[in-house]
Amino acid sequence: MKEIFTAVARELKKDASTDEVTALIRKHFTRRQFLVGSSALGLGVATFSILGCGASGAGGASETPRQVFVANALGMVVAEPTLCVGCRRCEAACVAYNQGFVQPSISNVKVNRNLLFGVLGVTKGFQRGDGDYGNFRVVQDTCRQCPHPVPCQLACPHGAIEVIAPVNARVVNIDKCVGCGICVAACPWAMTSLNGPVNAKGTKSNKCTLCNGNPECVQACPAGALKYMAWSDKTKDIPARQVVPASIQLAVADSCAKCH
Amino acid sequence: MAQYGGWTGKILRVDLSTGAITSEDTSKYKDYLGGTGLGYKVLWDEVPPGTKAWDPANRIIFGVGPLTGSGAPCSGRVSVTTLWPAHKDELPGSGHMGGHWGPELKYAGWDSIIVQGKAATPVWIKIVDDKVTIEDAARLWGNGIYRATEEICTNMGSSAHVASIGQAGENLCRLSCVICDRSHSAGGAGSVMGSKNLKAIGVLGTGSLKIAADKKVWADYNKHYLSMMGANNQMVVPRTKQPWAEYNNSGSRWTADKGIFWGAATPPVETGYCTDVEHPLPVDCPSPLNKMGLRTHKGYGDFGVPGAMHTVKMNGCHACPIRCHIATDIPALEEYGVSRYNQNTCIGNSIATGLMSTNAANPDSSITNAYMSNALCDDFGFWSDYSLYSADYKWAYTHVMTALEVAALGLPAGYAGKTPFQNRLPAAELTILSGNATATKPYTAGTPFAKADAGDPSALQVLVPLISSNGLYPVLNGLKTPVFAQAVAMGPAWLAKQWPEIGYFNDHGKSASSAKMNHAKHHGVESFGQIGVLNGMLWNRDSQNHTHQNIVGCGLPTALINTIMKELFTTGKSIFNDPTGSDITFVSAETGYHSVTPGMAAMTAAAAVYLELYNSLTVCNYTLPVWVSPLKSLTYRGDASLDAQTYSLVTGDTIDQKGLETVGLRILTLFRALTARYMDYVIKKTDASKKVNMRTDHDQVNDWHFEKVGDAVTGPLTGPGTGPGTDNVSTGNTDAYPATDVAFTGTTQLMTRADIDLGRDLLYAQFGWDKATGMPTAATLTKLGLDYVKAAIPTLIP
Repeated sequence: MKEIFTAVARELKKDASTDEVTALIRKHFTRRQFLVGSSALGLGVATFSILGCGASGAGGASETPRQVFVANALGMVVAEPTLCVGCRRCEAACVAYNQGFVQPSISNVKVNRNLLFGVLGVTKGFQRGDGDYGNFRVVQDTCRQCPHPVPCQLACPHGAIEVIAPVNARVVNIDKCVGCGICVAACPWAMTSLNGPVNAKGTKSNKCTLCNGNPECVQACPAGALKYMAWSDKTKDIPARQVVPASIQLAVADSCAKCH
Repeated sequence: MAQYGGWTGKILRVDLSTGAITSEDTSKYKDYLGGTGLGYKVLWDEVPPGTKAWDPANRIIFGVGPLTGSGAPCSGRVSVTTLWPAHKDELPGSGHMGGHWGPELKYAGWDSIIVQGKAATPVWIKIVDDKVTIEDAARLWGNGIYRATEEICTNMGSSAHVASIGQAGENLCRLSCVICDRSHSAGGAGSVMGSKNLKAIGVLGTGSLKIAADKKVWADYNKHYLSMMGANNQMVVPRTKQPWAEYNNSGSRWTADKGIFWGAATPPVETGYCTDVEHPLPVDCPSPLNKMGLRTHKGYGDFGVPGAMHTVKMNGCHACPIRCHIATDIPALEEYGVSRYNQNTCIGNSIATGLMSTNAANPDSSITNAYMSNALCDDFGFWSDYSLYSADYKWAYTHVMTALEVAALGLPAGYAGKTPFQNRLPAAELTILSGNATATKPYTAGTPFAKADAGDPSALQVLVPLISSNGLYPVLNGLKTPVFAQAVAMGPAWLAKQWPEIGYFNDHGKSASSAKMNHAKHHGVESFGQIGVLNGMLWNRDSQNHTHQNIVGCGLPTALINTIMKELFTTGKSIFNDPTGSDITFVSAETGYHSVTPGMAAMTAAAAVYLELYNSLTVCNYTLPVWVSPLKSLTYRGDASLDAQTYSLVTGDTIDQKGLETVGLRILTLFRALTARYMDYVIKKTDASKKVNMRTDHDQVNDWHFEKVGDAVTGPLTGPGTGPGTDNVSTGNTDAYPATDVAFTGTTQLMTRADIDLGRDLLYAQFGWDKATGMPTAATLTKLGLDYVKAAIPTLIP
């Protein structure tokens, strides 16, 4: 299909990044075998790792270190709801340009769930609320790339959520993820999602990788309503979307006790 | 179908009579893509002639296609195909809606839904991925679409998308629609759902859709495609003169500019320069493609400064970067007890405004009326018939019949000197509507007619519910005007059967804006003359064709448009071609009347076929095709092969432009045969010895287009100022031909019948249809893989 691209398109083209992200993940996971028990700072994996923390035997990861303290992300995707026109090209781009298929339910930018009735949802009244059945304000949910303690990362019993350079995104290691869905429940903003039934063969968690610093959602937005910006801590400002079950909070606290 | 991307492989069938819910393989419909193509095939296979629109045996097909939900530009559409209630003989037709419902259906795993039968009591269909159930809708029936959607989303979750009818569809108004996502309506199909006791279909899809192409290729292709798109209607130059643009055009919908705001956004958003990709500005993030969604400001474009002030943002459909729905905040509407927030686009913004006047003292009157109309019509699910109904309403409301008209139409002599409403509506109804038994002005203050004339938006709060009750059901607001309500709700084609003066007006009055046979003109003669007229003949409602309209309005110089169209349709790139290289596009305002050419016929054929392709794939014809582009580096050429490329990349079923056009011709030709089969049944009911001739029985053009009113072959011979050889301009019938409508001198769009007849010849030749009958020839059917059509209707195939 080379002939389909005009010179204009070639100029526009910015390298889609997930292959690089995947390559980075695999590279570091391989490399990590030589880094047992030591900090990986400066080697591309900005973490403090400890042995055996919270890892389950079923995941086969009990002998590998897992990250507990992680460096802050360097970038984040920030949404501007006033500009969002609700086309959801960001959702399509996030999944299709990274994974080769379309599935908005696992997109790492989430618009559809707020599209019609806003963040509060349909049961809170609609005529004056957010969303297309209300005042047309559509909030695009994006990953906060939480600072330590990172809820999804610490809740994962398999240590499958790790931090990778260059932008220190919190990324699912699909080799370790078993699709248990605990991270989905652990994120206060419900930003992780499973691509299939819980614990089913092939089910993996999906969360924002920041596309190696060049997010597809940002490139795809036709209204400039998504921006890639330097990271700042939004976790204290944005109300949680869901209540994290106490059982998961306890598990996270357990890992906190390793250091605190 | 597993080898293909795009399709899910399964069609859902719901039989509301038996409650059976079944899944079928999509592969039997692959040759028809999806959407209308699939709908026509289902009607052909399953719905025999003689079936009526509201019979349980009628099917209503919610058709999506291989591109729906793929994320390709403008791929959020749904085609709802059925026997068409608003057609006088209920011939097949389709309505089309955008929004997010169609893509959601794909993510739920379904390539379309076929609904048949009739539920014993009101129901709605709940689809959560592969779990499909028929649910009780007793609580929903009688409610508007907003309330029904809210209740269903309360059940299914806020992420679900709902296609619902309102009271208009329930009450079997022929003018009723299905609406999803607040403002996206499939016109005309609502009452078929109502007849089946089907209130709504809610969909929640969590699954995935395969894209066959490599993900990087797909990503790059999308950017390439978007770089060639303009604004709504594929207008490729800005409205105002801007320093980066070579051209500008005052009619363009590329309305963004410095100083033009989404004025009701919080805070207001300046659209600013929204350039093409060749002129990036520092404010673009990261490229001009990230401002495409601000290019089309229809709030400003359609309503001027008041519109800009009330625009919250521009909204629209799934995966479309061109936002055409004006989302507004009009606080004044709260004074009337309706939501201040409403949205729609184009004719959707004027469904009921034709029933009333504007208040000249209020600069916001026009937009307030429009959005009062939206608040009501999108809730009641009342359909505009592309405004033909309101033109007829206005004429019946205001036109004083002359003695000549009354005599010629065979009406009682006493009808002269009064309006059709005054003549036809019972005194009791006129009293309710106007305050006196003869609807004589002045109307009594507070009556619907008085409010309407004063530009009081609350007039619509009486009229819309009243009409949507269709006169058949307990009338709202305590008003009892069943004759009035039915007359409006049945739509122009059915009303013309009862009130011949309505048909007379539609046929003869340019201001009715009817293309043929009491169908609206959309788009017709105003859109490249014969190209628009010939397109308007082919369907069983308004053609809804923007393929040619988008070229008319693209904003480029006329001569350049003609050059580009000649490259497309005289050099062998398309299956529709004129090897003699004739000129194609003329603008009558510039050159006056110009006779039909073979090149015009080729472009007409392509316009028609691409419409069916888009309604089958499904993508939006309101903005596509990309036959021109904003790019100076391409000398403003677009790429007619983009649709084939998109299809190939998504499905993996590699096809070239001509191949895809052939698929489109197959779909259009099947529709042709389908229409002929039903129409033949209607004709034979009157005279069993006759058979349909599509050229003369179907492909008609209303009289007002022509310089001569009637002729012995095709022209109606009744009515004032009619008859062979009568000059259309000089009939002296200043009502059917008011002076404003016949100012053709120098800008004439008046056709001659001989010219349109030649146009038919040329067009049929492009399609491979027989000149004498307008039917596909046996050879054409074979070429298109439609031999079964010939086997089913052998006497109709020449």
